[in-house]
Amino acid sequence: MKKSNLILGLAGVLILISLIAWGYQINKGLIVTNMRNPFSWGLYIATFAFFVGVAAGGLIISSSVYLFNIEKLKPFTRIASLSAFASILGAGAMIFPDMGRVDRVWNIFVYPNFKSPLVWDVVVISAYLLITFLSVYVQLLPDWKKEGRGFLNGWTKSHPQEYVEAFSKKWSKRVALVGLPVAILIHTVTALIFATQESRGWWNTAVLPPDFVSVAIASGTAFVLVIALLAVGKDQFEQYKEAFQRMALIVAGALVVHFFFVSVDLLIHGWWGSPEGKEVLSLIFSHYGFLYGTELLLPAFTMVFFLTKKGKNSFNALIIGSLLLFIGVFAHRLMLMYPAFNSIPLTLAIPGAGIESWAYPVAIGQLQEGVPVFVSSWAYTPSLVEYAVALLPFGLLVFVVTLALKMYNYVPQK
Amino acid sequence: MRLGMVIDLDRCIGCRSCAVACKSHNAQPPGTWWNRVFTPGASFHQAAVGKDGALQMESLPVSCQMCDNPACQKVCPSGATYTDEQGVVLIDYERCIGCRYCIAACPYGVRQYNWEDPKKAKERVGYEKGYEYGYPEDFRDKDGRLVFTPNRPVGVVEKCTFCAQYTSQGEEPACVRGCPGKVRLFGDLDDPNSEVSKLIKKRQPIRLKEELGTSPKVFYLAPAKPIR
Amino acid sequence: MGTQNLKLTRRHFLKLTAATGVVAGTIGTASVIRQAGAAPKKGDSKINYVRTTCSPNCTGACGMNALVEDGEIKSIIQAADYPEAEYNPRGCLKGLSMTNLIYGPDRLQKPLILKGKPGSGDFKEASWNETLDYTAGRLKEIAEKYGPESIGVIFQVGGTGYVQKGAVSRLATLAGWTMHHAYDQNGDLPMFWPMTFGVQSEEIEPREWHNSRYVMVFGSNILATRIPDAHFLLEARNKGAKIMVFDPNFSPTAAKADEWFSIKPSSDAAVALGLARVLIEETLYDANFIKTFTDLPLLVRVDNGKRLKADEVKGLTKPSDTPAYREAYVAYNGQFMAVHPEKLDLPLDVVIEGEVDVTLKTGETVKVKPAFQLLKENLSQYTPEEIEKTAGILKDDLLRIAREMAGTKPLHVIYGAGNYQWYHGDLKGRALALLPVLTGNIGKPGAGISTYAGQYRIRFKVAEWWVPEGKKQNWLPFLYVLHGPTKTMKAKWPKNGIKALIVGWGNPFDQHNMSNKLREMVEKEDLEFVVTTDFQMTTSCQYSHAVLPAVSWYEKTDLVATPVHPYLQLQQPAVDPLYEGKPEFWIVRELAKRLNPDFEKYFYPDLEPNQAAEKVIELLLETGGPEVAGITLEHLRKGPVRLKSEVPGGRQIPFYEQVQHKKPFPPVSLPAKLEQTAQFVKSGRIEFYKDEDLMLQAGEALPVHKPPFEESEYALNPLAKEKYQFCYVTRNAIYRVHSTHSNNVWMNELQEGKPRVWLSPEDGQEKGIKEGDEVEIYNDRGKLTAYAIIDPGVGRKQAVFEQGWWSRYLKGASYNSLTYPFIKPTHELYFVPGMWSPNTAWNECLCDVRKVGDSL
Repeated sequence: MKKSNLILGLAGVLILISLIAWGYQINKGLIVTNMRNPFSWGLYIATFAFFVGVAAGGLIISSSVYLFNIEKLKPFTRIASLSAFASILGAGAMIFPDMGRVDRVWNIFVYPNFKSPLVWDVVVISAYLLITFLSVYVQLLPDWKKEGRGFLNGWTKSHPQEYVEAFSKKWSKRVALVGLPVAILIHTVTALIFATQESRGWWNTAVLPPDFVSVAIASGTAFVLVIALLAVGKDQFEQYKEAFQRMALIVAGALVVHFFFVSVDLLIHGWWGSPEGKEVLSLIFSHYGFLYGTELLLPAFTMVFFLTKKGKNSFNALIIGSLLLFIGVFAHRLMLMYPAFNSIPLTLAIPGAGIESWAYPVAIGQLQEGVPVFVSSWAYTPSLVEYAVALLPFGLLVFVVTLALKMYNYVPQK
Repeated sequence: MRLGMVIDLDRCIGCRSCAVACKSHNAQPPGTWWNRVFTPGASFHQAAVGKDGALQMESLPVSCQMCDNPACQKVCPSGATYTDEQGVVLIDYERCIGCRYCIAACPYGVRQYNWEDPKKAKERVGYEKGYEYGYPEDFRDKDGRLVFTPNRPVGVVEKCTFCAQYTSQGEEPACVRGCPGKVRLFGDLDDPNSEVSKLIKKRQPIRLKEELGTSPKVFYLAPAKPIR
Repeated sequence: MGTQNLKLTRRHFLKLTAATGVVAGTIGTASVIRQAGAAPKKGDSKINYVRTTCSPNCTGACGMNALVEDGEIKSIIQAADYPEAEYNPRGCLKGLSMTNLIYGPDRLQKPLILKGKPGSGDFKEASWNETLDYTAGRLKEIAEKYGPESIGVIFQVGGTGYVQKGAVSRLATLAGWTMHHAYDQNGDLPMFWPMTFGVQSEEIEPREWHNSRYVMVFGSNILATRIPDAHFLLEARNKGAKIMVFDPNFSPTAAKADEWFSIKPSSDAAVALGLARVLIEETLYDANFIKTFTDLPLLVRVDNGKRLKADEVKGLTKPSDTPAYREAYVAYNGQFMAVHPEKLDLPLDVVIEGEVDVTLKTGETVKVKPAFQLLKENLSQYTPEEIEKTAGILKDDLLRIAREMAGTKPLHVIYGAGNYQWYHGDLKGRALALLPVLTGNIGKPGAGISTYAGQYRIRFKVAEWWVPEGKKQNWLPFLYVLHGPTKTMKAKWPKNGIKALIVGWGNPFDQHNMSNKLREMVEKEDLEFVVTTDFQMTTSCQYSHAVLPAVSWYEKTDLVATPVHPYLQLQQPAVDPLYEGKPEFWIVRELAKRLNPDFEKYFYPDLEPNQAAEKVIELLLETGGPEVAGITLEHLRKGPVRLKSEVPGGRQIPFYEQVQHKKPFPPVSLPAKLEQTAQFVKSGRIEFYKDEDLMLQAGEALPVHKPPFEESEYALNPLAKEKYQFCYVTRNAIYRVHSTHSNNVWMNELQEGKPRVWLSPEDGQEKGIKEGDEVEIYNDRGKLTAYAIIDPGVGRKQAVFEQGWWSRYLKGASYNSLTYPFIKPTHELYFVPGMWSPNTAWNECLCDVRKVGDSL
């Protein structure tokens, strides 16, 4: 398995780069990012939200197998669980470099504030990490028993193979069923981190949690789809075509729901015509038009594409459609930040001067020649260090998935 | 006791002395301002707003609004931000994990982050070697929580404390003492006889972004020319 | 700490603030230590508060407490210890951030001797001995070669430090050097004062603003330039005073006013004369007042425009007790009478209108008219219609204001410095003075006319310290150094000109008129030697041959007073001098003994500088006269002490004695002797009619409106009229005191560290300049670059620049390179330093603007 070693090596390099960059960041402070007070969350949180999104796939596939009896997807429940575990691991890992005082993160556990959606997220993400791990674990138990190896499975030695198989089957189902609401919750809660904030009009909408769920179903399923495609290879495409098509359909269906939410959201932001609403719309359609276009058009393409015969009938088409979707979803996560931060909450109307929305400048937290200290918008583009640090979840995900695929059998037996 | 502040915009001349007093006494690093004064509507402070014949120029100082319903406190995952028994919203510099959720949550843009070690930022300004400005002693609340230190740790959020280091000793906050226009009044909102309470009753106060339900304890008295 | 529930009412705070303990420290270090707040707690024991006085050249003289720990000033806060609570808490953003200058990167650390070319910054660090020897040596050489009077001394305004600045005056007097009076150098001297009232300048103290009921502000931006006093104006407004602002630009002050009138640049005289015309036409004036206190009843000869002297008239004689510097003139109430110049007792039936024939001693009969009649005739041209055209104020507004102001007393006119720093600033002031005088608003609480600029005024006698043994002093208006001597000058031009400059407390190479010319003079070695004392490396230090590191006002002992509020205060060292800095007193003493060993004895050679300064303060208080009678150093250590005045309650109301007790004008303007200033108003009255030949020739016998630039820019270069149509206005920003604080990091954070030029939207559009664009402001004399602010409150054809930026923020240029040292001939009629003297008209300057990158 030379190829997998190469991939592992590459993933290791990604992780190393990100750790070095993170080390540099810890040494210098977050000043090495391009975030500043007026724009205090950036690539890291966007990447986190992206990985939370793709982590959905695992339990959606597994639970739909049990809940909706979609037997065709059954061969991919292991891969689904693995991809979910790897993604949520990546998401969790991404949070740490964003903390200015990562050395004190334990304070969340010692002094948790249960009003904080961030604490809720810690709880559900930890739970999801555990559940996806268990899901992988219980599904692998029979193989391990058979092969006489494994991980934390000493207790199975005293049980016969049939018992382990039955145990695995029973618990896979249970874990999947318990996991489904948690999967929904991680998106809901992650969305609630943003949606609870009345200070940021762009976030403060009840449609955000369900929309997060719909996007997660789309991107999470697409992610399982991609891993499954890669795992089975072009050669066996035809054999599992129906499963792939089913997944593509889930992706497309979820996107339909997503676009429904987007339309409703835009309509509500726009219809009332408040200065704040107008400002947000002008930010997304003109200032960040390109990024927003990416967010809308690429997934829209995938949605339509996956509903066509051409789109779901070939290996390459599915891969391309999924990749475009990922780019779109990543843009979506970044677009959580831009309109939210660059529409300063403290805006005032100036009666008598014809000014309806004037943003009260914020100090950026840095003094640098040629850069104003007070701004009413911040042209954020991630710094090189941020890009490097943000490689961490990508590296972890690739590493974990590749290693797992290499070590154990996730791909259905021929 | 609920400590609060009344800012009489009618008297405010926009001189920014309060912002500077605040910066100095609270040892704010370069680029960090807990307290700001701007001319709403103007592209530059103290430029006129409006068109021919209908010009205006008011000043609006903004620092922590000391909300009774503080979003920053509610989002803080580690309880670093808290409200003390006098209603003052404070940050425990030793508890803050630097997640900056509070900065996203605050509608007033008052929260400031230490993006780098403030010592280094101050060194770059070129002060005399080893010189540090600001109230030189740490201040801990009754539970020993560090809510003021002149040497701010890197990676934590900071903001106005109503000058905990001074008010705990019975002195007024630096912005109140530093305001040559006597614009700011500080006192107990629970005491109906305090000057702040009386003014709030007497003159229709405004609170910033009141529609968000943050219930600030900083009250503004509207700028108004006398009506004749 | 902080556990007990303190009852934080305001009264409690005030009590705490007032309950400041006083502890005398060891002599020479922190003398007075004030513990603010509650009893010291664990960990706080190292913190001391030292009360001192902030003293840049802003006139504020605000009491400040320095929070000191381990010999370092950590923070500064207003002392708020003025016995009258209304004055608390004086201070502003600059004073509060003074730590940035004291401990900042531009602080001078060691004496420097220039190695390279002036302005190159190529210095060598040297010991005090070496630098002082070098400086004294060069000064001696120059004195021997050109005479000591060819050494010019700039030490800025006296009030910011009577001791240290007095030391400079003392040495300059001993050495026979020439001194340049800051008040005229800075253009702060409003020449209408000596012309009309015979005084240097006067102002009612800001607390009196509360008593005004009608306040007319002509081009003064009190909210930005008088930050500690601005609240008095707003309080006056809220107590019912009407605030009327006349300014081409919508300033923060205009924003708080009841009404704002955007008049055309330098058209204030027209407005005032238009108002005066209405007052007279509608007989809204106080006839008894003008008969008693002004020269308006005095007769003027129609044939030659001269005032009729008693000695000229048949049957009249000058009273025998008329002092030499006075003149007795003539009034008429059916018969001619000699008017005693020291008695304000004309009968109220004196005729002030019409024309009569008078027979002179020569037998000749001439026609005479009361000055009032001439004034009335002169004003007839200023009809509301005419003023609307000239000044841009609606005629109905003019009529309304005239009637309002006449009926609403007390009336106070505030005449802004930026407004009188024009070529015809004197005419504007004389015209504006008509308003309070015609309505009898002089010498009464809340009434009068005030100019609030410059901490120039010497508020008590200082001669014992400043002028050793009554020696003669040489004074030369600085304008002549730049302009060259004129034929008509009354001041004495040193026969070899000025060949060396000794600079302290100032930054003339940025801040003075035609700074580029001054730089050239050094570069071409017209100025052979410049030595500067300062605590920061200013542009002027860069152009100096020797730089002597002084200390800030937190590191020395001094005595401070200002014209703006009536408190005498101490400056007390909060910390020891930083680096190798020394108080100016020490530097002067060291120079003195090197120049001439006999000089040393004049400077308390046995005492350490702070001890010596205290001795000087004691001397000044003992010999300072009635204003400081009874005040001791001990009193001052406890806090600010009000200077004494003849007004009940010690209030500062100019001409109170004249009006209430009918004493002749002028009151004394220290340090001048009465005979020096009384010659300006020989009648002993408020004079609107000036009959000096030059005044008559200039057509300025009575206040008139003259448009700007005609006698200045256009006279210098007729092409300027076409070529340069923008007024170059240099106003004060809240971020600087002149050039002090130009490099203050926090001030620059607040304004992006960028110099700005403020333009009207129309001009911006016409010139293709948008907000934030880099703009070049230029004329034939110089140019500078600044960033545009497009402000709808700025009037047309103005490039408003906020003054004080060091050259390093302006690509090496001085913003003053555009200005020109115009000298108005009437300002040369007399010469009394800082009182009647040619002075700088900063705003009499034309320019054009273009976006950087645009071709010519």
